[in-house]
Amino acid sequence: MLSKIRTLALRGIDGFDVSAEVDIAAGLPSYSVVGLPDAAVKESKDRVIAAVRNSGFDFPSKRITVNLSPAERKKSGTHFDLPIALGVLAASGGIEKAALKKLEQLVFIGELALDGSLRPVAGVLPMLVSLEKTAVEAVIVPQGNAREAAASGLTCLHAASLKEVADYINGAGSLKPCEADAAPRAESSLGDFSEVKNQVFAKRALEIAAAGFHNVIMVGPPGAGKSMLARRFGGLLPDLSFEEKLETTKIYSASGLVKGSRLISERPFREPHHTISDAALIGGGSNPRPGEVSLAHNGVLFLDEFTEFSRAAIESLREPLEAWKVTVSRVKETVVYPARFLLVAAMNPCPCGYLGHPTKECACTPLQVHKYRAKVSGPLLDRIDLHIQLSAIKYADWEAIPKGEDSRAIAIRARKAIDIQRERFSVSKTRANAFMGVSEIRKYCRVPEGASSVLEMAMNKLGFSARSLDKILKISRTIADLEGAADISREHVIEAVQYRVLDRASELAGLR
Amino acid sequence: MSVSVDEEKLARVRINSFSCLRSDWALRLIELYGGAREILSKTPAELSADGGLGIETAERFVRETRAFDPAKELDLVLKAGARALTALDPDYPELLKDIYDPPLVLYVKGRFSTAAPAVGVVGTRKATSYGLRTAARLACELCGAGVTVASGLARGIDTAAHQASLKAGGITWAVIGTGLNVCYPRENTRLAAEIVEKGGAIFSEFPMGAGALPVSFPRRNRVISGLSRAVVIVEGDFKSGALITARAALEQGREVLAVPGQVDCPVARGPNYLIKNGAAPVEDALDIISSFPPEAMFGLKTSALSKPEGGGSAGILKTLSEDANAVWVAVKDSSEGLCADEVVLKLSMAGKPGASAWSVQRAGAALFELETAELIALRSGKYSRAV
Repeated sequence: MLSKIRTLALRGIDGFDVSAEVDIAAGLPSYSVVGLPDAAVKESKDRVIAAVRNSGFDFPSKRITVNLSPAERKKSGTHFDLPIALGVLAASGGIEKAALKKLEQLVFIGELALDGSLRPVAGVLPMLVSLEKTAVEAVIVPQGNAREAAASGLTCLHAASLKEVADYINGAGSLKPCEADAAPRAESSLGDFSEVKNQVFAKRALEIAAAGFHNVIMVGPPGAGKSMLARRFGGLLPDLSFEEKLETTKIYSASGLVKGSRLISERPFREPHHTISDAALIGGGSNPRPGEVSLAHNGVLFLDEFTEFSRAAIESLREPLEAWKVTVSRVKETVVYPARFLLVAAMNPCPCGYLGHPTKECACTPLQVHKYRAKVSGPLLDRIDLHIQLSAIKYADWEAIPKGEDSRAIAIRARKAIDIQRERFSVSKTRANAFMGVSEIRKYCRVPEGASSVLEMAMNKLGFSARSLDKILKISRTIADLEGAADISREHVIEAVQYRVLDRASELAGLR
Repeated sequence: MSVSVDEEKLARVRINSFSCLRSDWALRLIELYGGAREILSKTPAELSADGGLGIETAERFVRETRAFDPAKELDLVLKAGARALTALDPDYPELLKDIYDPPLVLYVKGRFSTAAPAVGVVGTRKATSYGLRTAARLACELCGAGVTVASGLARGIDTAAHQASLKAGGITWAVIGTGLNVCYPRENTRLAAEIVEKGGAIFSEFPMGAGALPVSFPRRNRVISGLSRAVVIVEGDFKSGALITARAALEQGREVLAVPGQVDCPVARGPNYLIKNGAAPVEDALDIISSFPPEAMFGLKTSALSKPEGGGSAGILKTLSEDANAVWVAVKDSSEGLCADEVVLKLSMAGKPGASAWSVQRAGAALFELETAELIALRSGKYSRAV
């Protein structure tokens, strides 16, 4: 006998419909799975056999063939257990004939334990979101995935075991619908900007970064507050929209990182260690999984000790910074993950960290400093608009420093600037000031009469290159947007010059 | 005769290629055997017995000098637009000949004249902003008086001295510790080219292609002092190359002067030690020039040095905005420099209650104004006075 059960599979962070076909024929007892299954899918055989028997059904001693169609696409994961088991039951009489019609309108996802109970699986949300909704009555998921599944907006039922599912189909029992978690949004766990003392230039630069989607690099000695600022940076960005929440949750779900609950509503903050491999950073593996850049999608990717990252890892950031996505190509398949993040990099001023420190002496030779700084130059630095210089503060000054603005107030200003940009770029592909091309810079960043002399002085006296002038113009545009000004003024340009520290010939070399 | 002179020169280039042999040993051997060619005809055993070289060194010497092709070397020199001088050449600097161990071969790129006296301005690579601006000011004043500024093309003080000399339109010489076709440090490649373009010269005693070895730099230091009438040590710790130059200068009978520094600053220890031991403290170029012997002072434009009181920055300060003046006062008074945040903090605390607050924008604009007026400079994240 033949049966067909609907289920889903995941490729990258997008799902596609799969039907699990089970054929039971006379012959020597055997069991084979075809349709490009990976090891986890093949192993389903043993789980399915045990789960079927332990749920009180007979497992037929016949020649069983399982086909996962479309057969040419790779399948991976353990969530095919439930559909395969139901296929076996449907083909061997475990499901009543009258219920077969009902079975066609249901979609199943779930991993089986040997005792027949259902275990939660990764990637439920992205699979459900891309389900073709033709003639689907309900989706049945394991109990552990209930809240995640509810976020998809589909009719979902959750079950605890194979027996419960079979009973439901046979009309002998009912399943509970999945309900979304109604818990209120938790306050940001990463802290508020007002907790950072002083560092007024750095805070202002981060405000500009949040407003214009500019990437940032911070240079400063240990203890200056680089990590502290970076952690709080996400709080300056506007709240996630529903689409963004869904996208982010899909990525986390595909990585198995959704801890059984609702949509992710806080901007992700990812802080990979500098020993990370390039595959872990941008995604990869023979079964491709999203990397840190995708986990930081719609949020902040913080690379502390930026110069210590391997060259391969740093270079691999170029694609996501440019295209807002990563393409992972493997022999068997090519997967695209979204990766729209703000890069916040941090580095010490020298290998020992204490160059320019008020109380500690730097132990580096000029050559060491030079080599250390030279590591950040090149194509990647080109994609980082804002350079911030931080310094350690002497304790004596500590008490006198006034408290700064809180994240909320800054985020409101940034929000306004973002709205202005949305209007400006409504007809073009550019998404923020940071992404303006040369022609757009000429169009939107016209310099007033008085300010061209500022640029000239910056070039002649401070050693800026022509390339960095374009960056200064982009930053000026964002500063003007923050003020709500239609035109860039001389003051905006002068302020922008302050945020290009590493462009100065003397500073990049670390010496003169 | 001329054939023999040429052959003697080639022989000296050949001997000079063996860098383990210091030039005082080479000169002693030349004296002993009556010429450089004679040395090359000796066996290692003879060299070891007569010249006192270790037998292994002598063997390496014979082996390596035989393998070396001096004609090819001179070809390389020519291609680099340089010359190789020996003591036999009339152009070889007289002052350098006087020292105990003048280089056997002096490679020179660029025109140079010894008519004007030279002063060595040397110091550490890890200079403070005080050291850099003082080196630059001294070099500028010396050039204004018509003195040639000699230094070592290293980072820090040396670079500041060369750059200031070029900016003042003066002549500057760089004595380097590598072959003439090798630039070390690399970032000074353009500076080296500019020195030659603007009428200065690059000197080296090392064969073409010689790389940067730690032993080469102390040896090059004696050439800086050897070419100079006086040597000014701007900054340097006890172990720095600047003190090696000072010692070489003393051995060569050159005047040694030092720029006094703060007593708790590591790089001021060298010059302060020298001053304690009798070196003349330097405030301006006049202090240096007055140490010259009378014949060297002839033709110098010393009148250019008597400047009006108050320095050159007073005039510029009048044209600055009120904010910039306030920031200038704050930065000028801090010995270690201020970072931008500290500027804001210091000014906000100094400000009278009720006065408008110092925002990032306001402080940034003032800093920009001062920086483009070249009154202050940003170094390692801190603003400090540049004049």
